[in-house]
Amino acid sequence: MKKNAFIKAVRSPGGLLTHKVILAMKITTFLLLVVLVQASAKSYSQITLNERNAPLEKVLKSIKKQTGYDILYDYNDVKNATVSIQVSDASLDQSLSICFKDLPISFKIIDKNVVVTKKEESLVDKVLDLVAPSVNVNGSVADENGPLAGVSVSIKGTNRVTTTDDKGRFFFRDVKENDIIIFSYIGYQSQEVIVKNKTTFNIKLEKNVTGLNDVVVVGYGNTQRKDLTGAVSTVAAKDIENVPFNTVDNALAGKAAGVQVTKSDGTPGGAVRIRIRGSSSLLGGNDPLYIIDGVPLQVQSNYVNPGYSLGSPMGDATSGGNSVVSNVGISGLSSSFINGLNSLGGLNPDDIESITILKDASSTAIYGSKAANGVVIITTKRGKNDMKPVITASYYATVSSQYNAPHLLDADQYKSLITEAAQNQVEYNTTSGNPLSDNADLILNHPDSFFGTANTNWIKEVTRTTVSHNAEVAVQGGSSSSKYFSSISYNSTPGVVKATDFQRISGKINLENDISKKFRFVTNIILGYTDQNIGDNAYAQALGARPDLSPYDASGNFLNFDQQGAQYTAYTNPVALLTATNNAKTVSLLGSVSAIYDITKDLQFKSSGSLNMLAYNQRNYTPSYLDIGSAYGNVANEGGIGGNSNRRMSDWFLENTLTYTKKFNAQNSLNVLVGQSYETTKASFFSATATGYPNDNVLTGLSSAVTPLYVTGDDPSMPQSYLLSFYARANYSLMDKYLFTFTGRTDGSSKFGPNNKFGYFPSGAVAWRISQENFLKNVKWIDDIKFRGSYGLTGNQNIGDQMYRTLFSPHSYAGSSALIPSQLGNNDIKWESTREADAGLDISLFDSRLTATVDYYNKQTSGDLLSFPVAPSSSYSSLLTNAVGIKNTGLEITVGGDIIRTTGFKWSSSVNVTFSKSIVTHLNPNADLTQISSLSGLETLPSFYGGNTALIQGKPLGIITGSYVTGIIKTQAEADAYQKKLGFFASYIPASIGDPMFRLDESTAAYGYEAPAINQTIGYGAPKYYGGITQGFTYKKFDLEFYFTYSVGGQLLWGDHAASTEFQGVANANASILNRYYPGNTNANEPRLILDYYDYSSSNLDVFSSSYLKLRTLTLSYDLSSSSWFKRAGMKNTSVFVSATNIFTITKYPGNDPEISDDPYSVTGGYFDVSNYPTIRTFSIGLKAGF
Amino acid sequence: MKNLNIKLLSFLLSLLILSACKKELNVYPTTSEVDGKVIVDEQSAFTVLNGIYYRFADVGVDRNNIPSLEWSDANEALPSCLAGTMSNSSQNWAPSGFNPQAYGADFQWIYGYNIVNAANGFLKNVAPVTAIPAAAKKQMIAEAKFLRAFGDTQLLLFYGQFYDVSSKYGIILRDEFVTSGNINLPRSTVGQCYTAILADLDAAIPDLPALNAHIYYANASAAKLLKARLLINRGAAGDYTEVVSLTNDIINNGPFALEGNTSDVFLSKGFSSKEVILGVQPFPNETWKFNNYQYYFQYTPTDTLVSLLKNDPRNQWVYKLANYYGTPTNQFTKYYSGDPDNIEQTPLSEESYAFRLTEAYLLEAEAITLANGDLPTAKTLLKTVEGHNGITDFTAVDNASSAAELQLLIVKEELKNFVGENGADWFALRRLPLATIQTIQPLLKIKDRFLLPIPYAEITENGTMIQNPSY
Repeated sequence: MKKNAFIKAVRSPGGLLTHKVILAMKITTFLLLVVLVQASAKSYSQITLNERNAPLEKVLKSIKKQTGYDILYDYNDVKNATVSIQVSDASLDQSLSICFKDLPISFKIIDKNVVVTKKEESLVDKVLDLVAPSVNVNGSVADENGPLAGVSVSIKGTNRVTTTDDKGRFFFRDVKENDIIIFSYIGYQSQEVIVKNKTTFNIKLEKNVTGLNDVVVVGYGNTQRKDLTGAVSTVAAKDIENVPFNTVDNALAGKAAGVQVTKSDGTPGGAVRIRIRGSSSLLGGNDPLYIIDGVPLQVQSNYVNPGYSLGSPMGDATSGGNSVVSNVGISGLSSSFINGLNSLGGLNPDDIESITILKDASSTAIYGSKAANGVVIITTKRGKNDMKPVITASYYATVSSQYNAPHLLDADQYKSLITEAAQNQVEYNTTSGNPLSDNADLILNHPDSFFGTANTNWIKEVTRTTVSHNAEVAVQGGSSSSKYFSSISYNSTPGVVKATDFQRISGKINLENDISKKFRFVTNIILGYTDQNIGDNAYAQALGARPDLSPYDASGNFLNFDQQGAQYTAYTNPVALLTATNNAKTVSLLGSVSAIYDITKDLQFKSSGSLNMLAYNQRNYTPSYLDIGSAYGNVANEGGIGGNSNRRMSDWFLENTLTYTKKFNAQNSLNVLVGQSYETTKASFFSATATGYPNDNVLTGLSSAVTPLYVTGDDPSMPQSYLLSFYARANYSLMDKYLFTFTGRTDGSSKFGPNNKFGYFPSGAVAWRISQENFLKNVKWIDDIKFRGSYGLTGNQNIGDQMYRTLFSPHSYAGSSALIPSQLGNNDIKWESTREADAGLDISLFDSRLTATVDYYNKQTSGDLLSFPVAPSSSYSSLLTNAVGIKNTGLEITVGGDIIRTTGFKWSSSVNVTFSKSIVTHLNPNADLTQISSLSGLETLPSFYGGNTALIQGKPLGIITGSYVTGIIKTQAEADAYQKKLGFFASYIPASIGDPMFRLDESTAAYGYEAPAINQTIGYGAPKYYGGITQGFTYKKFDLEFYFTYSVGGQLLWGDHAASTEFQGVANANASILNRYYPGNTNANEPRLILDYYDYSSSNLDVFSSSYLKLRTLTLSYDLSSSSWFKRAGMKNTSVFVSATNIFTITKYPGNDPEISDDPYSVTGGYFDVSNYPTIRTFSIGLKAGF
Repeated sequence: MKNLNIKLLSFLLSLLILSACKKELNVYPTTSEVDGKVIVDEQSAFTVLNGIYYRFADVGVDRNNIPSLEWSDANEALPSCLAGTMSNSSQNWAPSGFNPQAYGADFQWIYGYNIVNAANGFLKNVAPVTAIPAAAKKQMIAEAKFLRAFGDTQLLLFYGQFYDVSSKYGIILRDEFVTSGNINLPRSTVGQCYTAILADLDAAIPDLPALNAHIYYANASAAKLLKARLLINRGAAGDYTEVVSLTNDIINNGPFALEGNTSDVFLSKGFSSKEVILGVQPFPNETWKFNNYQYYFQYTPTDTLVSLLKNDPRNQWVYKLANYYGTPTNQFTKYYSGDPDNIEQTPLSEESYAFRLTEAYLLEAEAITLANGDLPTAKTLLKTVEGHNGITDFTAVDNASSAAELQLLIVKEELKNFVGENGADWFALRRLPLATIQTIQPLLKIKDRFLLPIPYAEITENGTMIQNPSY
């Protein structure tokens, strides 16, 4: 009884009618029908529906809403029925016929009413149905531009399928009156029609447009956009196609709010810095988790340090030249490799179907302990059911050239300025009493032997304009029970710097088979091979190479720079460097097999096993005529130094999920997912370095070497880490307007001690579709307005293995093994956890012509792991502790829409902006931060010697530090006052007119001197806001897209400027050095030149605003499909395109490119422009065709 | 049925994974060993024991990551710089030149505790293992205790008020392997330190062999000599007598003998010399010490040393004049037999010596003078040592009329004999009266500067630590 009462109470208006009323209505209906029989609604043709297994009642409501017709029915007749229907601009009659096809229901249309009655199907009916006469149907399919060839035409519920011919025509024999014909085509909305008594169908297919019903891939499933409760951005394949980016991450820049993407430099195929809502971990990395077709992938650098500064003849200009890195470091090679290698390099961007970026805790919490940095879900292309095989081939060629070549001093300028610097030294020496330096002596007293006669443009010597090629073939198709997609692609991209290149062969196979009605089996394999020559920093060396020297000596050998007095500043012949080998080959495999079983209609079980495997091989060889770097300048390299390193990684995943989807009634629907996953990680490596090679051109393999220098490796038989997870998510939708999501995950990780093996990550979200409320429901121009709110916890376990244990490491003593206590364990370390709150608003107006999404987030990470110093009497230097907090807050706004939408012309526009802020909320000032210094070795944290980045409690991430120049001394009075403060220090640094005044460390003022202060904050790297702007124009068959990215409020430390404020030894300098103080330029903001006397490390003079607006890509494509020539050739979906990247940049940044990063993995910054590789500009032309 | 099967199957699968994971979530590393599991048999016990020797040898890496002994910095140069016979070209390592943050102030602190903790790790992990033959285990434990005593002695003699058993300025005594729970401990009194170290030595001496498998592994004589070194510095009642009996025992009953000419130990014989009681084995391809002394002139002999060695044949080989960037400079050549100007590494340039028999002779002689014993015996001992160093004129020794006068001569011999070697020179100097010390090392003005400062990091991180006086 109670139950009945409840059902009655919640019935829809139609359902509330009593039987009596219905009977009365039926009679009325009949009478009306007789009278108004002509008033058929057949002419009413504007119903568009796209529903899968939707409750019939909901579909009827939708029809009612779209037509304004009242539909009268008994709730009991429809309550359990579901229907799948895809029609576009269909008539009421057609739509209702499809809805009721398999139900014992008939309907009549009377005036503005539809009366639905129960049809008692008699045996006769059934027989009649069986023997119903068959008819032959034909027709044509077109889109707004004309006939469509290759459209799949099938009869619903059967295996019968055909495709349209090149004129868009189709023909079907023996079709029954009740059959439903489905028209489907990639990129278009499918359409269904019921045969009834028609025999000719002229169908117009609509292109898919972004809308509320779009399916959005989320963690372990998908949902409709309107049902989303979390902050999720999507990037469609079409948004990244036709632009020749080597890697997918590179194509994401500016595409989604809250996602900051910076290409580190122009290295072909190189790494990209991606941060979703900022950085939150110090040791655990800050790259998002990638889920590629369900397989998790964590970005990392594979570079193996071969020891001996091998292959790095010298540091890059900025570190070797003692500028960005205040103490000399050898980092050239590692920074090249770190910028040059990309974990996603093996994935062909054209294989991608969709990219979803999960940003808030509610959407990411299902990935629990890996989700604190956000999740990028990449889905690659799959086969389609009932599709004739379509072969797609494409080719494009790209011309790449250097964007904005740097301006360096030419030979004359160099000679004149360095002579000026030497003369200034003479003047300085008379006051300081120092002897003339060797370099100054040579320059002033022996200029003929010191200066060369050449005028070499070293940048030209090491760069080139290149043509790269990309070709691929893909096959896609399927029958009713199986589908497939496979592709293979080849990409060859020679680098703009000579001796660098990127090559990739990538293939993909996707197979999906329905073993039975309930059981499906899916296989997916993505295989990638990349071969990269990373180069040897020849470009950075070219920035400092003396223009008066030529690459070769009189006998045609490479000129040895060691003889040019440049030893301490670590410069070497850039052209000779081009002959060194730094090669990396990577084979990557992402493979998975899944079995999907529909236990009941509502309950689905999925089990999958997947493998993420990578094999990396690195080869380095430095020829004997190149010197090897060391902490004390060049070291002769006798017999060459070469090495081979490899790394192998395999991550296995076993995953089981159970999904329950139930629509109880119109008001209540529930989706519950529970799952369990098991992950193992195994990594092995080997590296050997040797010297004494017989020659430099052929016998450079390891076996030719005489003396092994360094051999290391590990190849464990068992995985080194395990992760066991259980997770659950429930989505509940009440009345289609109140949406709730609850997610929980438990992770057990081998990376934590017995006290804290398991971490718990709950989250919840609510959304309110206010537009579904009665007061807004009838506002025609509002499609959807939704408020969202979410809160949850995610974690990070991307730290090293075994960090909680007390360990003994193997060493040797006296020829025997020795085990040394090397790590102090801490059983109390626990998960880094991030609490994130998100408030969002989604708006869609005017039939999706205007859409907007706004999100505010507050992301507080606490318990970040960092090793803190312990008392040295413990014999350990540090103990890993959860003791750091970082907070990221931000506002993300995306507005898009079609400004003009006419038949022939469309102008669509989209703008996104992200305002973001970070702050270190908790950090013990005693923490030894050197442990988080960057992989590239370029970034150093504050120390006795001074650092160039810092982490300070209460300050944002991305601080740039150095010394602070308060001004240039312009008068003798200023000089006197400054020298007085300096005290005895005045005899160590130049402090006369034209010299810089540094901010001084006042703590020693009492002792009568103040030294220039180090570790001063000189800049903030992080931008205040950034984003992207897309402008798309479609005119007939032309498609033109402008795509801008911008970033405002950030700063960069320009390394080449730091190396050019004073001469570094006798190396060449950037033309910016012309702005120095000298009698002809007494208003200068940069110091005068004094050779060999400044120990100049980076200062605020080298920090510049990195704000910019860049036309990142411009793409023009032309659709050739309908051209008769191509049709005769049997080609479908044919288009040609031209595109360009880095067309122009509006910026005040004086360096080459304000969008650059020295280290994509850096936590503290990455805001140095170290000019290891120039930024490139490309022009591409390509052709795509389907057969 | 079918559904049930699948449900059952997935349930079982989950159970299986859960049970399997208990072990896997506790997976052990493959590139290191875990505390508690590191010793399982004699072989693994030896490896961990060898780790203590690794610390004893002060192994580090050079600029190209080649493992190298850094013994020469902490144990050769630092004490001799303090004693005033050597100088550090880039740091002021005189007793007046130290503050808690000074470079080098923590060398011995880190060195000593590295040994102590490695020894504690060994002792903790070896204790429960029954698979090791009893005799082998006993000897290994004795070696570990000897090494721990050595580490503690270094700490006490460099950082503690070793001369005052009632002082609170002892060192931190660690008898347990460090865990996250016992990192910060307070100082013990000097008396407690002596007691603990002597307990270790008394436990070690009977179980150590007369000669170990190699001369770079501990033996009974080394332990006895260490005990003598410790007691002569404590100088409590009976200590000097015991020093005499210990050193006598080493000289007369041990397997060691003085080298015909001491220079042969360093320049030609190395560890094959019968005089070496405990050596420090270098790595085959290291260049650390050679680079320090010969290439960089990092540590050079002072005028004090030159004047001490006036009219002493050792001035022909302990240092040599060489050309350093155009300036004739004395190069420390005690371990280097090659040409000081055209330097090329020589076979013994990296060998180091922790204990030499000469020290037993000199400690015995000095203990006799301190205990007001028989001066002629002491004189004979001193002359024996001098004789082995090529000295033929013993007038000064013969003329010494008082115990104090003779002690000064003995200490001077210790300064000359052990310059840049093992710290015995610095320890000996401080046994003289302060006024006498200042005639040799004028920079040692107050007794507080017998002690190095407790390193800055210890003071900041360990709240229970107190700084040495006058720092």
